[in-house]
Amino acid sequence: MATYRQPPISVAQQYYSLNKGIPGQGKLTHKNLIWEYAIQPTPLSRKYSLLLKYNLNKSPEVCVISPDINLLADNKIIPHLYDQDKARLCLYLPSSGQWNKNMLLINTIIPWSSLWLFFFEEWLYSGEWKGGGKHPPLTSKD
Amino acid sequence: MKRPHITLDQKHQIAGILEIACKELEITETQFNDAEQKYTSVGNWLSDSGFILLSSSSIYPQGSIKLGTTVKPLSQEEFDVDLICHIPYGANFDPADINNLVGNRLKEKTTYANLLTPLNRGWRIDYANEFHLDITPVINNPQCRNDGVLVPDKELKTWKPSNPKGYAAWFDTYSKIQPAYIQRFNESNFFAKDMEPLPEQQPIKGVLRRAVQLLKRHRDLYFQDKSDGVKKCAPISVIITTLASHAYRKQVEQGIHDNDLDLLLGVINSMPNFIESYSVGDKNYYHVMNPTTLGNNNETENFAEKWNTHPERATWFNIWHAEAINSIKDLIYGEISGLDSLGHQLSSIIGDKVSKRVLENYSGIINKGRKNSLLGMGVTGGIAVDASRKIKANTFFGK
Repeated sequence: MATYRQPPISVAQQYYSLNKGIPGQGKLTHKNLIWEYAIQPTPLSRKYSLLLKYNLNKSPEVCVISPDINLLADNKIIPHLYDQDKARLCLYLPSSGQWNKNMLLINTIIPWSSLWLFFFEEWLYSGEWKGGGKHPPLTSKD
Repeated sequence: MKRPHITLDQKHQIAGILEIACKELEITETQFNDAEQKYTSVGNWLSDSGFILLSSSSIYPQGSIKLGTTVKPLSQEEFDVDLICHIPYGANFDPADINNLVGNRLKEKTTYANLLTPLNRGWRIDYANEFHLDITPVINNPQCRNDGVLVPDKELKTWKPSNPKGYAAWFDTYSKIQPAYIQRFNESNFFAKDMEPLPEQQPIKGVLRRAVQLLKRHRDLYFQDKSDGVKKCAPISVIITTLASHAYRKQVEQGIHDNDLDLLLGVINSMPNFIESYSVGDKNYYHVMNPTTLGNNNETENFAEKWNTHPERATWFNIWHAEAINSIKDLIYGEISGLDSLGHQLSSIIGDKVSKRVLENYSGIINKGRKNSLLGMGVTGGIAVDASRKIKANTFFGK
């Protein structure tokens, strides 16, 4: 019995749904998309600008552009970042099926980035990350 | 100092957070039930006594535990559970005799004897780390048309009119007066129509009670680092409660408020208007009357009686009150950017420890929504309970 494999959602479809789903602006090329968007997790939270980069061969990448979260954190090490300097967010457990190419970014990565920022502000205040999550083994890259 | 463009959604969120804060401050249901069970046992022990006077006695709660305005003590101390031991037919006895009668009966039982300490008027049974039961013996007040009672004065020499039961009923009636609001929290620009904002879906439950709790907490924090002399000037809870009740009723009757945060601020702002004061020569006199003790001068209870012999108490009331208004205005109208700055503003009203717990609870509510896939995202990325579009569960990864 042949296993049916759903084809991944194309970057163009992703781009279309982002454009419809969250205010921002971006660029779409044949294989890549970037989307710069603004998020305010709660009415009293800051307004953040984020940049999402995606292509079919890579995991989606989300970085906070402004405000400078390292500055807000007073240069303390911020939990759940892939890259402290680039402020790249760790939003899901790799290879766990939480995210795959058949999912829309607007329903997954985007709201997860909002949740991340909610817990980031709570962390700024309390010094504890209340959002749960897993830490990668020390040897792993990315 | 109005925050530019403070939105209804922001007010709603602050209201929700204050609601969590007050729940965090008050006695837990478990503690309350435990206290109730323990004081009922004390009551039974007293009325099972062979003494006729005690056998007709009854025990009931008074003060914050009865009013629903309890506030966690600042340090490791226990909750105050204030109780009245009502001995109806004690009128022919001195307060000291009645007090001894109660004390001696309590000492007959080892469990109580071991936990017992005398108070100025009455007895304390101390359940360490949980709460203590403070028992004040009272007798009928035949002069009072309002079913009032007589309580011992501090030196146990004479009886003084009071009415804890009547006061509790009076406060309850006031707290149930329903305010009218113009703005409704479901008119949102931040969330879509079918979304319910977090943390709370309802506005503040009972603005009067919440106002009293926040003020009492602020008072405790404000006076804790003052000198011993100044500490004595901290306004007593019943003054705060009485002034807030009058102010609440007047505010609600005066008209419609935008929302419950505006009402809360209006109540706190106008409290001093209900202190009656007058001068004779260069001396000021103050009255904050118990509204439920009726009669001539010697039949009424002036909660601010001490202000007349210690006028610095009136001054400290004003200083503290101005400070409390500032803290609450800062929270409602001040510059807040980010939940971390909200946390700092909140801690100036309720203290660091509780403020941290409030934001922890808020996170808990969000996490519960994540776990049960109840969350959705509003137009600007806001997190809310959403009936239609759900956020899939995720695990934050990385260092």
